[in-house]
Amino acid sequence: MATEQDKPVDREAWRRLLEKGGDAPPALTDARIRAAARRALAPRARRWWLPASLAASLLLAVLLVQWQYGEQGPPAVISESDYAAPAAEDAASRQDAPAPPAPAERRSPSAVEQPTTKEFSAADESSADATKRERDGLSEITVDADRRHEDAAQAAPATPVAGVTQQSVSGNGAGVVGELRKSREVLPAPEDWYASIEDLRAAGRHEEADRELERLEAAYPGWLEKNRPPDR
Amino acid sequence: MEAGDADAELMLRYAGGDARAFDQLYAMHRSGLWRFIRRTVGSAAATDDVFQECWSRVIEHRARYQPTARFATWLYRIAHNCCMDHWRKSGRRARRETTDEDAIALAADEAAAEPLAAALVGEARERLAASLEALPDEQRTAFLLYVEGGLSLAEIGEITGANPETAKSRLRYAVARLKRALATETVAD
Repeated sequence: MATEQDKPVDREAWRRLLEKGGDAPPALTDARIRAAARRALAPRARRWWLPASLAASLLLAVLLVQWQYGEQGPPAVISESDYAAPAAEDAASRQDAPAPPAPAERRSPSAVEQPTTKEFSAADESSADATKRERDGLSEITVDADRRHEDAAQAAPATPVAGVTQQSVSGNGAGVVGELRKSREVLPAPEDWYASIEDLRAAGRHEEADRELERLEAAYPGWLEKNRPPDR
Repeated sequence: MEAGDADAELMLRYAGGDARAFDQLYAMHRSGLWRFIRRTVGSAAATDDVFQECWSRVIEHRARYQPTARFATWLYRIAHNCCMDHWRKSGRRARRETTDEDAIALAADEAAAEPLAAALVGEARERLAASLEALPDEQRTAFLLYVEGGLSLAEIGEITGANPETAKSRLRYAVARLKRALATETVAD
């Protein structure tokens, strides 16, 4: 507070002089300021709406996603083991054609343990090319086999991407995978098969040779009669 | 809170949610604060802006108000800062304070000049306004804080960043100048 020592000037006289003329804020300014003062107090009571509405929106979104997931089930997952096997078996059949199909243990463990969802896209063009090459190789092996076998082998994709592509197009994933597995049982060409039988006979393993001959006859009916060498 | 500072009590009530306390506070300080700002910034349009900005800050900082000093000191500090901000934005250059020689000469004349009574009549108010406008910023601020804000020299020094003696000198120089200007006009009349 001002003391006597603090009063070098007659404060009231000067104030009276300055106050003359009614210099004061306009009524509109008064109203604005008073309204602002009331507005500043009012929102305090409604502030809980903002966080509450945000929380409600978030909860609704989570519930919606969970509900949709429960309704439709998880997205279809095809593990790599489903489509890695054909590639591995094709490679094996190229190396030793008469040998039986590659065993399951040749599959990559990582491929078996890591299920992934694959979707075909334009970016998979390189995989599609690989599919074509694989298919060509398969055709070379089975070129002289029965036409139905050849068609089945060519129709069935040898690489995962092609298989998944068919699945996505047909919408019948389980059927395609079954076809895929059947096509892997590629029979050796009859000439090669017969040559191996001849080798067995030359080695004195006649019983084995007879069994193989019966299998050849069963696999390629009529082929033996058409193609058996005349000296036999 | 200083004893008897009803303003501080009203401000605390307003901070607690009592809108009517603000109305009382505003009614008590609106005219003095308006004149302080009007004389400080000059133009009427700028006065309205600065005045509203000042009260907006009061409203905005109501929760942080601590009655460690008088409410008027707090209010006029905000007003002074608003005026400074206005000057900075408008690019107005502060007038230089009077040199010591000028001030000493004016102070010497102060005792001889007693034009206040004469100034209360006629066009004295307008001349006073013009003289106030012509004062150096520091002197005008000290004068207005003293007269309109009712602040002590210590409070003026606190707001303006000067010690009380400097505030006292500025106030005396301002009053001397105003008296001299009014006396000159009165004599000329």
